[in-house]
Amino acid sequence: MLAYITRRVVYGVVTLLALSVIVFALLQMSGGGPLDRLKLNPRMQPYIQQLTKQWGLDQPVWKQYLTWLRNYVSPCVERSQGCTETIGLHNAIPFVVLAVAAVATVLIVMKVRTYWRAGLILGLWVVALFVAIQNMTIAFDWGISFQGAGPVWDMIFSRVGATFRLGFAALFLALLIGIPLGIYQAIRQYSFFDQLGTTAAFVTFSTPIFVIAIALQLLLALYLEKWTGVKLFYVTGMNSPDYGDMNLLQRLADILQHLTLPALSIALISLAGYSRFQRASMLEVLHSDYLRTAKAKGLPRRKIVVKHALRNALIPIVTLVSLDIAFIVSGAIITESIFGWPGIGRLYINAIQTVDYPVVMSIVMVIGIGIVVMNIVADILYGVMDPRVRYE
Amino acid sequence: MSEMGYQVEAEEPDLALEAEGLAVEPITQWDLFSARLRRHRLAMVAAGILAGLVMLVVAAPWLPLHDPTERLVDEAGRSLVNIAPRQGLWLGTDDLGRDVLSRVIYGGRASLIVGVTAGILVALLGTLIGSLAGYYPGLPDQALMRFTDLVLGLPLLPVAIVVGRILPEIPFLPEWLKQGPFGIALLLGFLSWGSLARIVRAEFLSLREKEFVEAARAAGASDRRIVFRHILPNAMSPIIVTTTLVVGSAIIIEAALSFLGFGVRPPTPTWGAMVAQGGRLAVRGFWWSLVFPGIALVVTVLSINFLGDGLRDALDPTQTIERK
Repeated sequence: MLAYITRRVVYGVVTLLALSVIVFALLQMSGGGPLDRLKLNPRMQPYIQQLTKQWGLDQPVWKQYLTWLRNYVSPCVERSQGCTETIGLHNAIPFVVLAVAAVATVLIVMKVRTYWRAGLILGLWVVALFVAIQNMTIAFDWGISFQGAGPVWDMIFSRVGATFRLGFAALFLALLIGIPLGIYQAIRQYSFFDQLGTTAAFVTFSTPIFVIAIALQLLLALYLEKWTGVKLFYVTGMNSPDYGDMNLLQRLADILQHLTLPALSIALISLAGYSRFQRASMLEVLHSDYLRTAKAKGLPRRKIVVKHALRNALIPIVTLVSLDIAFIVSGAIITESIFGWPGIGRLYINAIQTVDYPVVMSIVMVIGIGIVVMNIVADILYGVMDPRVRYE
Repeated sequence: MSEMGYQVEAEEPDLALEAEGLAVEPITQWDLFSARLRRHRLAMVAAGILAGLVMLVVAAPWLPLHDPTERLVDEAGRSLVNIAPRQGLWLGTDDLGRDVLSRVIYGGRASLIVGVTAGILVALLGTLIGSLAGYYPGLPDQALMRFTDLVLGLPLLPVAIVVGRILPEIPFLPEWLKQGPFGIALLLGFLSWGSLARIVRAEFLSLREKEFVEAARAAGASDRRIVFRHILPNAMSPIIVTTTLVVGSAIIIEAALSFLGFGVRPPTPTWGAMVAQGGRLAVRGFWWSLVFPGIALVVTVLSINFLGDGLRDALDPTQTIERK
């Protein structure tokens, strides 16, 4: 298994290198290259010389790429334009947290023998990653924005929280609705409700996310307020301007009022996929021999479904969720720019409009790393949950 | 096996039986396929909608439509801006006084060109790479599959956005590739053949070991003949179904790119850009600028997906006519 994971990590690194080469080469073709773009912006005049030297902007393209790569993977050792943080002992916190999580994972895999260990591991890593990111004081030298918006590392990490909030809310909604929907459809196969669910899933699956987002904005915010006078949801931003003056309950309501529509528009499409997948997986289990045995023993239907079928039918969906991260990121790019959500996606769109080289490169790589890591996690989880899977 | 039997009889009809009216009508694979597809009512409706759309889009220049970029004015010379649907302007006009009906129809051109071109490209690339990898094990297989993994690992939308943004600025490209739908189509085609290549490879791996291929090889058939006459026809069904679904997703991604402003460039109308503009207009009450391009987009993609679903059922030889 260790050999398998090592190989996957190597492939992942190669994929990321290829991604960086492709995007770097593409960006070089824009507007005469980074140096010409930099010269266009009057605010950047004082920095041109220093940036040219630090990033080798007057060098041949391949040298520029190597310089970029070296800087991208170097932690900030001393304060510079791209670095506002420096190395210290406190930087160790996220690594300690991740190391503890890794050790705990190995212990769980070895010691815990229940069906729920995959969920345990997933939850563990969600918490670990959250704590690690919160305490992430170590920075990498990703350069400064060519539009004069400051160090790229700080720009991205000040927006990661917003994107995570949106992504997790969407995932939560999709699972909360999609899984019970799929299970219910499978239990009542070919019923009217099943047919309706299938058709609805087909329609949402064929609808672009921006159509869903705009429809939700208009129907649930604009027209709802116009027709009934109830202002239930907001359509831009993450908080109201007077968020600071609210008490805890008002804050919670405010967050939900802002979060619901963008999260729902991402969730609706994922949820169509989840419910289809869950339905198929549940049907397969319902038609299996051991379930017929359970039925023959005379067990009550409720017990058969909940205790025997559900547990096994939930296994495959975990991998689907891990792989769905790529979709949620893509969805976030579009949804964030529609709902004015201050996350990475909107930053990406803004940066690409002005071809802000360091910002575009860094965000593409962050997304790429996220997808590669989640793909590996999905494969490992699958093996952990289903003992029949063998890694070769 | 029974179908084989029919075909043999069909080639050598027994004249005596035919005279007595007892000869059996030959049933070809195509007959079985089309019978199964016709049973799939939704797929037939979807195919009808798509056929109508294609005809409408192709015939657009000869139809009595306003130019999609023309800013309309009435007899008194006042511009017809944000006119609600009415006689003569069946779907209304947008904030620049352009006819929404004409823009929806011409917008379909961009979407269909992107979908079909990307689909063809994916079918060719995916089949070529998948069959090479599946037929030649060892080093070619390994190399091609690592390359496929790499393409599949690229985040589609972020990369497509970069290319869409940069495309008009690449100096050595011809003009039609920079602005029009073909550039976007090629981009999406080159980014989305990975899953088809994997599927085709898997088909080849299993078909290669089948007895009928072994028989062909024993009879001295060349590699080319085995691939084109024996393996590829049997791998057609996943190729067709996957390609159909790729067409749908290419249309969605093109629309998303145009919505964000990185797709086909204005003034060429596209559904994605129209939805973006319509969203701003609908807030002010001019719903028609949003609703009609939105419906066109959803209905088109939905039809393609239904057709793909129908084709999947119809092409699956394990599914007999009686069963459904």
